[in-house]
This record gives sequence, structure tokens and C-alpha cells, in this order.
Amino acid sequence: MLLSRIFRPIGLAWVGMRHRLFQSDMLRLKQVDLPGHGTLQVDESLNFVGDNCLRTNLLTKLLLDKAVAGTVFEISSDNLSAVETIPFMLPNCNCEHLATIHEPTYLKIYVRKRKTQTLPTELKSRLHGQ
Amino acid sequence: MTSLPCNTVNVDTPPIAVTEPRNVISAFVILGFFALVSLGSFTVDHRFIYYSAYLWFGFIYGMTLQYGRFCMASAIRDLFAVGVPRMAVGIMIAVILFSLVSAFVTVAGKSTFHPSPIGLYSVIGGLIFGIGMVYTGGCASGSLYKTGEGSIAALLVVLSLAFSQVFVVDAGGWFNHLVPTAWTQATVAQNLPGVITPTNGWYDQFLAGYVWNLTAYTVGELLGFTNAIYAAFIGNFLINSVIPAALILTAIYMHWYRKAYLRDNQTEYMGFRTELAGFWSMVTASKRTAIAGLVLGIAAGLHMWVMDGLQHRLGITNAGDLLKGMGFSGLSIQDTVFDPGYFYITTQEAQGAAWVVQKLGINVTDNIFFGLDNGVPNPLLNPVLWMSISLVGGSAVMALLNNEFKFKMPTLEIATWAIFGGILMGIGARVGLGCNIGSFFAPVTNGDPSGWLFGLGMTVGGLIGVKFFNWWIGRKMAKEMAAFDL
Repeated sequence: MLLSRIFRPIGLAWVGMRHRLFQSDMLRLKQVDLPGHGTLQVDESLNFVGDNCLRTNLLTKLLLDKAVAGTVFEISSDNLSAVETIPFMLPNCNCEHLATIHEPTYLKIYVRKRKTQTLPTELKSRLHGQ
Repeated sequence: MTSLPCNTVNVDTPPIAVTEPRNVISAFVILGFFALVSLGSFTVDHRFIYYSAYLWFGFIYGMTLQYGRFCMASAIRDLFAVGVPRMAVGIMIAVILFSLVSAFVTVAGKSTFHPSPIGLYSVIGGLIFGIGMVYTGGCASGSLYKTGEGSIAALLVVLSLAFSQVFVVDAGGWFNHLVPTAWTQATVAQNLPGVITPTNGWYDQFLAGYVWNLTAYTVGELLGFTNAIYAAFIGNFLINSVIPAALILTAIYMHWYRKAYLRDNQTEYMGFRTELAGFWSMVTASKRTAIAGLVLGIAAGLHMWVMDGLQHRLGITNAGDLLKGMGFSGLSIQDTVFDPGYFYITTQEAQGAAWVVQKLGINVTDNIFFGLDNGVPNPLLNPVLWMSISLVGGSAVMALLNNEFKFKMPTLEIATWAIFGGILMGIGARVGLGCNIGSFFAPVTNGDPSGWLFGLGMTVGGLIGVKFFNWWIGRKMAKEMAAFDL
């Protein structure tokens, strides 16, 4: 737990910086046209092609948890299990699934971070057993 | 701007693109190959129909597992690592349905299932297996179906799982010191044939000196039901399967699903009705996994019925009778081979690996596992290995038809994890007397409480694996960052 607390923020910072350093010029300007959502600008692109499902899922969750509301992610993966799990982890990360797109050898998942939703007082009290 | 109007899917729709013609052809080639093997072997000797039964059930398992991405490693890992209960829910659905079909099969007197002894070994075996499967990214059945999708990493898992079992069951010498003296004495008291050298080999002493002295029973037997219907439906189905599965589903709902459901469905809260709607929403969240669970549960139950029917039809109690009757070798000293009569993984892969090791000139039949019980038949004549191979084939067909087949070479890091995790899975499978299928899925659905013990160990092992992986990823990133001097 202690090690996790130390390394998690470092890891997140590195992932963020790595994308900005090596891929940002192309990716930050990227725009996509998603049916039902119109033209959107991709703010962050995460490439997990070749990675196993656990690494893909864990890193995706870490980044989505820390993202700013409105951020649009493009997540690339060729791991079918991860591709199907990611949309299901989104409600817990306060994100919405926009689309999953087939590319010839991998898939792209588009995700947007939502604004923080507050629970009605009645539900809040029930959830916390008050 | 990139325009992406086609092949767009949402959560409820499986991401399937239009099937390419060459994939359809490849799928039919694989299907044709298995049909040819089935018909050809039947032409040679009608008794090969017993093999074909394993083959076609394996094919169905492969298609189903691939369709639902059915994997117990994924179930445990996704729950603990990212809070997604989809796969765990699917597995509980499969448990309930397989158990229901099993109860009917048992009442009809067609069950081929035998319970395992109840003991702490199940928890320890499950724990080791659970850690290993998180490292590899797939359980035993998951690794087989992923091999069918073209994953070389999954193939490495299967191979290391197979060969590590051979080492585990044949290791003597220094490893003899691992067992208590009481086990050695109990082994000697069993008066086993000298040819298997039972006191030289830790696994022999583990089996003969410890496991064989434990009691095996189903919940129906434990509760003393004399009526077969009550034993099967109340003891085995209701008490050993439905109630634990329902409790697990409720725990998953309360801890991982409820909060997000209530937040996203902010309608009027109507107490139990709302909770029930949330629970149902969780069960049906992934139709794909739920459908796979349903098909798998029914197929696994029917498999037992068919194998028992064929045994009666052919007048055999074990496939060893067939091999002996057809003049083949590779049998155990009891003239038996591994033949569970239901969905099972790991032992047949170990037999295949043992055959290879034997061909290299190393004797691996001087132990209970191969020498006394399971034999080391030629892989082409191993009925249960036919099931594993066709499982890979069935998965490949489903993947091809969905444009999901892709040869994927692993990176050195992923290959290392696959081999290391596969070795742990092999050790865990032998200590726990099976894998996620043979020691969890089949027992819990047939009234055997030892399955839940293995499941408990596997879950705790999975949790440990996830915690470790979390730490490992953080550590690796810190190193990468240091290398770039950031």
C-alpha cells in the first residue's frame, strides 16, 4: 500500500509527460467525427497495442480517474478482453463511452470525462448507511 | 480531421466488423479439419466416437469462451484492479446453470463426476494458481481460448503450465524433504507397486500420504439425503451452488455496482424495487458474457450426460479400455488413462508434455500421477487432449468469424510473465488437483464443496497478484522516468 501510494503519482506523471513529449504534436491536434457526438478533439491518446489486459486496464483507470472534466481520450488496444472491459469501468471513473472503432489490427475506444455528478441527498444517505 | 462513421459500436453491441472472406474460408478449413478427423477416426474404428464427443464439446467450449471472453483471471483481476464485475457475474451465471443441468444429469444417473477430498490443499493450490493466472493474464481455459485467437503469449502459458506439472509430479531427491515424515509413513502403509517408487517423490507422498486420507463428499451426501432428487437439487444445486453464487453476486452488487448504478439512474428511489432493478441491470450489463455463461453451463452439463452414455454404449469405464482394446500403449499400470468425462483442463496438457519428456529419454512414469493413474499416451491418442486442441480450434473459428484473429508475438516482458505465471499455475494446479475448471467450475456445480475452497484460494491469490502488478507497474514507470532523466 505504501509503495503503491509513492509510485502511483510518479507513474501517472510519467505517463502524462511521455505522451506530451513523444506523441503530443500529432495527437493533441487530432479531431474525430463520432456518430452521435459530432466532431470532437482528442485531448489524450493512449496506445496500449501489444500490452496485456491487466496493464491496459490499470493504466487506463489511473489516467481516467485523474483526468479533468471534458477531456476526450482515444485508447488504442488490440487486447479484446481489455477493449470490452474498459467501457464497463467508465461509470466508476465518472466517464462516458463515446464509441469503439475497428481499425484493421486493433480497436480504438473513445471516452469523455464527465463533470462530477452529485447524488441526491436521499441516495447519499442510503449509500453511506446514515 | 479523421472521419469514422462505420464500425462504431457501443457497450451493448459486440465490436464486430464485417467478416473478411478469407477469414470465413479459414474458419471453414478449421471446421472441416475437425469434421475430417472425426469422420476419419470413426471410419478406422467406431470406438473413436468417444474421442469425437470430447472433440466437439471442446469445440463448443472454445467458441463459447472466445465469444464471452470467458476467463476467471479476468473475473478476479477486473473486479479487484478496476472494479468491473462483468466477468465475475458471468461466471456465477454459468455456475448456477451448469449446476442445474448437473442436478438433472445426476438424478438421471448419468453423472461422471467424482468429488475431491476436502482439505487445506485446495486453498493453497488455488492461491498459487490465482497468483500465476494474474501474471499470465489468463486462467487455464482462458489461455487456451486466447491461443486460438493467435496469442503466442497464451501459448507460452499453456506450454509452461504443461511442462511445470511434469516437473512437479516427478520431482524427487531434495524435494522429498518437503513432506512430513507422517506422510512418508502413510505412503508406505498404502503398499503401492514398487515400480512407481512412491517414497521417492514429494508429490507421490502428498497424494498417498495426505490427500488419499481425506474424505470426499458432495453436499447432498453430507446432509444425508437418501432421496437422489433431494440430494441433487437441494444439497448440490441449491445449497452448494445457488446460495453461494447468489451471496457472491449480492456482495459484488453492494460493493462494486450499486453506487454507480444509483448515481447514473437518479429516478425516485423505491427501496427493494430499485435495488432489484440495479441487481438485474448488473446481471444483464454484458449480454455477451451472460449468453456465454448460459451456453457454457448447459454444454458442460450435457457433456457429462453424453460421456456417460457413450461409456455404457461402448461397455467401458475409462478410455484406457478403448486404447487397450485397439492395441495402443501409454496406459498406466492399472490400464487407465486420464478420462474425467467432463470439462477439464491441465492434466491432459501435462500428459502431452510428459510424452515429449519421455521421448527425450527421461522416465516420468515412476510416480502416481502418470504411472498409476493417468498414463502417458501418444498425444494423438489422448481423448481429453482432443478436447483441448479442439477448444483452441473452436476459439479460432469464432475469432476468425468476428475478425478478431491476430497472431500476436509477445514482448520479452510479457513472454517472461507468461512463462513465470504459467509455472506457478502448473504448481498450483497439481497442489490443488486441478485448475479453475477441474478444481473450481466442475466441483462447485456438482455439489463438491472443495471447489469453493479452491475458489477462495484463487481469489486471494488473484488479489495478491493484482496488488503486486500495481506495484510493479509503478516501479517500472519510475525507472523509465529515471532513465529519461526527468
